[in-house]
Amino acid sequence: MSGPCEAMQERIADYVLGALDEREAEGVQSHLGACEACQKYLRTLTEHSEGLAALGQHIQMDMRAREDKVIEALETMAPGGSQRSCALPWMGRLLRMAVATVLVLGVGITIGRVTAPEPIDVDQLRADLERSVAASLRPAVEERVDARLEAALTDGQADLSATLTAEVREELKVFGAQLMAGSEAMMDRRLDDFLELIEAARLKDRQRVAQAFEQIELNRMRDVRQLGLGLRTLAVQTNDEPTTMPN
Amino acid sequence: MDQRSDTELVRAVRAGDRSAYADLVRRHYKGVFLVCLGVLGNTHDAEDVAQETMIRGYEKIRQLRDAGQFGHWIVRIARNLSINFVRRRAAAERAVGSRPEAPARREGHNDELEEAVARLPHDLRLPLVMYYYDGRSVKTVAERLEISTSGVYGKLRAALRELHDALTARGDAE
Repeated sequence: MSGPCEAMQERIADYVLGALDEREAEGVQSHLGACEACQKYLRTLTEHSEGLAALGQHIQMDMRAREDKVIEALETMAPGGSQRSCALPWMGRLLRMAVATVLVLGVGITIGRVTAPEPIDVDQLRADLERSVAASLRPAVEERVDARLEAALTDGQADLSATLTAEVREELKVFGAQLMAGSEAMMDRRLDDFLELIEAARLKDRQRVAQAFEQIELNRMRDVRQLGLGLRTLAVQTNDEPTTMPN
Repeated sequence: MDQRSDTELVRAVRAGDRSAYADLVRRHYKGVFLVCLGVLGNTHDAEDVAQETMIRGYEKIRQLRDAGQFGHWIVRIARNLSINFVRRRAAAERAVGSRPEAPARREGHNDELEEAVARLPHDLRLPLVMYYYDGRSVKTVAERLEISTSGVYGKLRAALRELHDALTARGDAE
């Protein structure tokens, strides 16, 4: 006897599984009434289906004993979830890893930005140095002025105050001049240092370029020698071969 | 069995009530075991991995975000552990160069059918085992496997067909 109809096999499986509606089931039954091969196929699938259900019942018989075994194993454990605490329990492992990666990258980028060398901006450097020197000297100037004014007020002498004011003004002028001179001298020194560094770097670069050119020249000369040798070899071989003419 | 919901039981476990987890084991072990059996194909390995799953669930219960989803969560752990076990077993078999011997035949037991089920690819065996060994509910299988009911029917059809072909070929050979 031939096998079941190819087109009906899925339908018959659905019939066994109870997946067909009433009309579809009637269609299958109608076909089965006229096809012995499909009837046999249905019988076999039904046997398998019942066999599987029986296997399931057999396996379920031992389920309680298996549960007892698990519960017994759990008795020896610490209270739930206390074996390994999690700092962020609401986060999945992947999410925690992603957050950690972002943090590491962020810290790396920040450190990189802070430590990366930047091109020298002379004007900016000058302005920064001026601001820095002025800021460092200003408290000393203010302190000195305050002390003088306080002394004058204590004496209660207006003329002294005027004198002191004039003196303070004079001192401020001197301080201002010293401040400018100091800042310019410091700035010049720093600029000299930077220019020396730049010059040293340029010199080093020039040396490296010169070395590279030397190496290129050496390579070129070696290649020329090899080419000459190759050409001589070719010439010798060409002379050795007998000249043959096609007929 | 305790009438408390999964959510209440999970909260009790987190508060240190070990017996509440025993109730969760009674409630969900069967589903876990059948998933393990469906993936692994034999009861011995399924028992080991199901036990490991329940212990893992106990250890990591604080990581479960929605306590009401304990059933889905523990089944997902069971599936992942079973798949990892299959990979390790396959690697070990490759290294040793042999497959484990089939279990001894038992009286009154449909060994041929059980062996044919064990030889099915696990993506077909899993829905088949979950359907036939646990109340024949396509809806439950679909929920646990997180696929559609039509997808479950498709897998069951294919599994029945493969079983039929395997057992018919075996009958013809004998």
